[in-house]
Amino acid sequence: MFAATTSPDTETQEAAKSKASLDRPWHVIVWNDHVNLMNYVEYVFEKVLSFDKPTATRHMLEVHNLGKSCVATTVKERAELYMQQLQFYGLKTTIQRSE
Amino acid sequence: MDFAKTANGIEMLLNQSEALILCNCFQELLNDYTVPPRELPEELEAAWYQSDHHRASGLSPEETEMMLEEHQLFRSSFCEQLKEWVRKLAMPPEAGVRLGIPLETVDTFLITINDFRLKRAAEYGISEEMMNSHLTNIPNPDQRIACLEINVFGDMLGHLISILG
Repeated sequence: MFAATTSPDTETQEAAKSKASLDRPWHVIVWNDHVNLMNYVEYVFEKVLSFDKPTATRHMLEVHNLGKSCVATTVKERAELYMQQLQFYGLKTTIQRSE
Repeated sequence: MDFAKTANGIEMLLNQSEALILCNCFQELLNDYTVPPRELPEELEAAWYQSDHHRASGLSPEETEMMLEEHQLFRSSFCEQLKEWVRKLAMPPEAGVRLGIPLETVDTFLITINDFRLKRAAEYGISEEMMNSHLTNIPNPDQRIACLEINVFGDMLGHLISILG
């Protein structure tokens, strides 16, 4: 008979931890680059993320001044979709699981 | 180059030279959009398809391949529209050309013009410093011309977006 390496309690805790990790939302991050124009970035935010003008401007300025902006935090599938759509428009985009 | 908003979209008025420059841009893209991402020069693949960003996002190789495939399908879907614009721009009369861009194709126009700018920057290693400096301060003539093209198409993009806004 093999000795159990983890107790049922530990297994439950690990499963819960793993589920919590899977449930953690994902950030969609747009990075600054020197080719995309500021008003183009703003336009894309309005189109893809349905931002109103002030929100689009705020995020565009964050990208420009700070080098990146988190433009959405959502479930993985939607984060991937946003990343793909922003990349279709040529914006440098990644996704990252939240801490 | 002049732009006007119409009931159905945007109308561009281009002189003969501008029409030929735009035609050349679309012809280049027509060719590039049919090339699979992995067969493009590395810099252009990174600029358009961003597989490096997929890796940085922790996507698996399979997920990355699927994204690249979908992405190329998206870009190659522009080809029919580009052919139509090339047909209208290829033999411009001296008086110039009026190019209508219906609302449903405005984003195709914007993305392709932007793609051309990204392509030139990637191909010629155009740095932020070059983008911000006066053209005469760029010693390499190829990079100077690339910067000029990026600026010309940037002006066009900027005007179009301000009209749409």
